[in-house]
Amino acid sequence: MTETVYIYALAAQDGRKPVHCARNMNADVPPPDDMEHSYLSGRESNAMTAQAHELTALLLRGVSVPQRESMGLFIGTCYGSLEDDRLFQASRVADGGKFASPAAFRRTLPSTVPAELTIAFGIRGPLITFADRETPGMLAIIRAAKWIDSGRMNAAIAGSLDFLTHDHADAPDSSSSCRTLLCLLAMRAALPQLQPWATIMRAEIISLGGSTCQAVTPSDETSFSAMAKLTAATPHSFRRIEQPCGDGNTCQLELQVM
Amino acid sequence: MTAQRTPTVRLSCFGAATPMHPSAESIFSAWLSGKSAPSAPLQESENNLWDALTTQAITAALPPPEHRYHCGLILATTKGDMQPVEAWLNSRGPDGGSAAPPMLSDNVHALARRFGLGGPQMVISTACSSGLTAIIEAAVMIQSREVQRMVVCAADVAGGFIQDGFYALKAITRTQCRPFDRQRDGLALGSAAAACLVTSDNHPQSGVRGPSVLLEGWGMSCDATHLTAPDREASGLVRAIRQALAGLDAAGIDAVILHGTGTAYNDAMEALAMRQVFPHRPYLTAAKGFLGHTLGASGVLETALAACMLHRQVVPATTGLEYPQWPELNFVRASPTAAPLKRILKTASGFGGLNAAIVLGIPKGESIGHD
Repeated sequence: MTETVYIYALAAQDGRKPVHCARNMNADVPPPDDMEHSYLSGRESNAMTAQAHELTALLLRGVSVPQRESMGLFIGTCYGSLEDDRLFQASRVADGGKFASPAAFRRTLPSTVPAELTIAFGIRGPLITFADRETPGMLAIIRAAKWIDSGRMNAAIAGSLDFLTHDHADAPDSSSSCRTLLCLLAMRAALPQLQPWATIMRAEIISLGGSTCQAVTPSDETSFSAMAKLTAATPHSFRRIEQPCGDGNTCQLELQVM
Repeated sequence: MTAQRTPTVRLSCFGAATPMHPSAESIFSAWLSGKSAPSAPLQESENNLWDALTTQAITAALPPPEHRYHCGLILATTKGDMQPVEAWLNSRGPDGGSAAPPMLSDNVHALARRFGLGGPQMVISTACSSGLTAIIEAAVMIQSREVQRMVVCAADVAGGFIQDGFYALKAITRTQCRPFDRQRDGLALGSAAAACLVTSDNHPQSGVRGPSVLLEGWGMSCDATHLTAPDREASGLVRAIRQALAGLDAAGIDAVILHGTGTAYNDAMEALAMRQVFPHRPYLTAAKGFLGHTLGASGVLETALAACMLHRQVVPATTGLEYPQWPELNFVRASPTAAPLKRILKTASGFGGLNAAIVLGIPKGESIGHD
């Protein structure tokens, strides 16, 4: 049986520490009435964890403890724990390697932050962390939708988490969360009859065929607006779009929504 | 989460490699014999070990050439190939560096290109449950009719980064890994890659090689209690197992390959789960006393060994187990036990309180024989 999958999206980014989460769930879980695209102020350290917790708390507002116990958490990432790898590596090489940090090591997994979310919010369903170069958040959302569609799970938090410190935040590939947001914006624009941030998809008809959004400047909100306007021209489906964004970089999106 | 019975997903073409052994069958034979002597050791340095192990494992799991273009690849790993990561980390000074940072997904794309696999590609990293999670995700894709064939490869190389980490956590044994033993004092690390071909049982099984098994059930859960320690009440693992058993009689499980790390809390959690779920005392065994803990690779590697158990109708002994802390449980120890085996449960747990369980059975018509 095919389920209708609702996605309610929230995103936060400050240009250097982008975070995005979205909630996939069935209709029996009402959406928060103030679901909005929101920008949260950045933090100097551990921003990803703090913002992920903040967003997850917003997404789970009104979701009961029993409902959380069966929820899943599907998270995509480009770089995973690379920043924590760096901290542990620093502790390995300091003082001749005598004091490798156990506290740093236990965070050197792509699943560390998602696991922290399960602990903080009592999420006890399946957890899967996907690594993907292009659109890890969309991959996570689509995989969650597939699980929901097949009846194996009723609801999940899905999205992407990536964090790189200052010296690599400008790398195009550090914007995975923004690219997820871009894809969601595009889907929203492609289905204008829907309420803002409530993008309804039938999971079985969505395929992500080589989905790419390249070189989107993380902090460039105009890119998102441009993409949304662009996709509004194709109200019910789009396959391939190549268009210069406001910053001169090329946005390329290949996504099927039929 | 409502687990579903999955009678139509088949796992076959098992490949596996460790630095000591080149195939799943040779690893299983060595485990049975209790001898860790290499059958055909790989002549590779740590620098090339990732490539050598994954190549060996995936080569065995490949579908026929005409099916590779549409066949997908899931790589399950905790850390992937750490050589480029460590090189990147070491190249950075206090002000950073200019080289692009490596990505975990680079590993799967490189492997897919090398073997001509043109279907969906993804990396799954859920700590030490990565391997079973990848098998489950491949099964979801098969049952959703997204693909007809998926290769699942699980790999990890226990290099200096990982070894230093586990030493820092004081999780490494000072003697020998002794799962479920009163004197257990930690895990031993190992390096391995393992792979299998996941297909629908409804499709023609052309190209299937070696023993195959049916994936009859699965479950996944989070403890949601602690980042590195398992739930003392085993509630997460019990839920995963019960999901995997949905629609099946627990008494129909003949044997269990436990995660069995040889650490104090993991083993206690698993023993408690066995007492809660299986009053009929199935045969229990664990492979990490023999293989070491191969991290993200362990789930697929030990699934390959479970397939060998089903087809050879024998349960290897729990290497390292001399003085069971839970004598009420039916651990196989000292020597292998020949037994009629129809279904085996494989479990895995990882940092973050992640649990996974799968039930494996013998396809109808498959030949089996006592060892």
